[in-house]
Amino acid sequence: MGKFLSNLFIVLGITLFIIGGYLVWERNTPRRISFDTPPPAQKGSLVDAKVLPQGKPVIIKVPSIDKELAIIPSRIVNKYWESTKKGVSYLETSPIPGEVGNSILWGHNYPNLLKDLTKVEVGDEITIVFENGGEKKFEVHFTQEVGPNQSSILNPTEDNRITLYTCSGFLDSKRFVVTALLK
Amino acid sequence: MLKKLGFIFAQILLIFLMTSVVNAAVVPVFPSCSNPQGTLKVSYDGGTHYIVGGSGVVGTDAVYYTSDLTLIQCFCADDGSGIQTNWWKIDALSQSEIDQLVKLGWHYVPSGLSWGLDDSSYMAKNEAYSCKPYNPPKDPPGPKDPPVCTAPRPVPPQLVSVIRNGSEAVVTWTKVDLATHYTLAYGTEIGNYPYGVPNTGNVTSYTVKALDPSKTYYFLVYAVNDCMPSEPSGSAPQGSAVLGLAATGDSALLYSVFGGALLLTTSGIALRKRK
Repeated sequence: MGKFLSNLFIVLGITLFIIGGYLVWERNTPRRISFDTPPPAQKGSLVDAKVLPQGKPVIIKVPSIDKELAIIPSRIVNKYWESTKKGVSYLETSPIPGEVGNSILWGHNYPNLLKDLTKVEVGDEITIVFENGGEKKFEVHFTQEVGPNQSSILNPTEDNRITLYTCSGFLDSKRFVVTALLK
Repeated sequence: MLKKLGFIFAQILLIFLMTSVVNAAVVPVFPSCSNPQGTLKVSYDGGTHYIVGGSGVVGTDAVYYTSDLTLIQCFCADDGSGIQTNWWKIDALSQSEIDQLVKLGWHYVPSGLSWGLDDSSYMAKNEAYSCKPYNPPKDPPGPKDPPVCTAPRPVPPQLVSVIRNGSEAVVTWTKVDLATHYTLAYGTEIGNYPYGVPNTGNVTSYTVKALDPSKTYYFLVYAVNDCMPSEPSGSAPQGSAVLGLAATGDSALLYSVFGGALLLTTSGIALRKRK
């Protein structure tokens, strides 16, 4: 009996170490923040823009969860989604927030970043601040948890929206997406 | 010792592989209602709509054909709670695959005709999302004559019995004079009835199928006079309850996993040494 218990504990312990190792790996790999298919490049993006009167987007404010985070322009290279621990990533091939189309922003679900994004509700306000100090305000119209294979949520749109998301669900297997339209 | 460890891991691996084989039906990917794709087939700015596995609900509704085999229904209630229903035409699926999908929360719809679709069989699954309710223009031009249901409100029926038999439940209620049909609503907790049958016909008993045998279900019945529903009947619990599983994937989870791993491993080694 003692030997059985000893073996059982060791096996369970090793299994948990393996699961823990997987979680650490997941936590530090950009795959957990990505969607399966990168969105197509859109007009009005940071890379596309010749003139930027307002400058780049630099800060995102989500007052309902008391968050004010830096915006870091990012790219997707060979399905590698650049991510940052210093703020929110902005896909620079998507429209500059406020322009026509779907501006895509993402961030890790760390407590200092977007852990509370799941608490954002329809009707909440999101503000994007630009280099020149100008602001554009958005109102949340949708919140939805989707799978990483539902990449079409990042597709271009005819309205002026931002799509802000983070990881959610068991082992970060889902994406919690907040969609806000320009006010 | 190593052989035993290897044997246990092989068993775990086998279970994972078997699970993958059982869930072999490849579910198509559906776009989300937050950014719907495909062709808009129909759209309503209001009114009562029926959700598969649920009862009539009031709000906006839009249906998008996303491929030859798939469509999404985006319903948004007046309180901002949305339901996305993913519809999948499944003529090629076997019965065992259908059974597996039902266990995963899908509803089997033998014919799409009663839902405004073709006569094919469909699987449908509801997913919750949040949405901004539609606000009609405050001063629309022209006379304002919103449709009003003038039918007399029937009295609520009384739930007589719920006889549970595995994945089925026979629900019986009292007859209501004014009722033209009845609506059933049910769910696994009191006050939340996401599933239902919009129209049972003018009967006083109905068999609800494809229930999870391990869960408690609570039922409500509404009598409906044409377009006017009654207040709900009382609900009655049947079956047994099970707990759900929740996870966050944050730091607390990591600490718990490594703490548990350390505790178990050291306990196991200590036990071995003591011997």
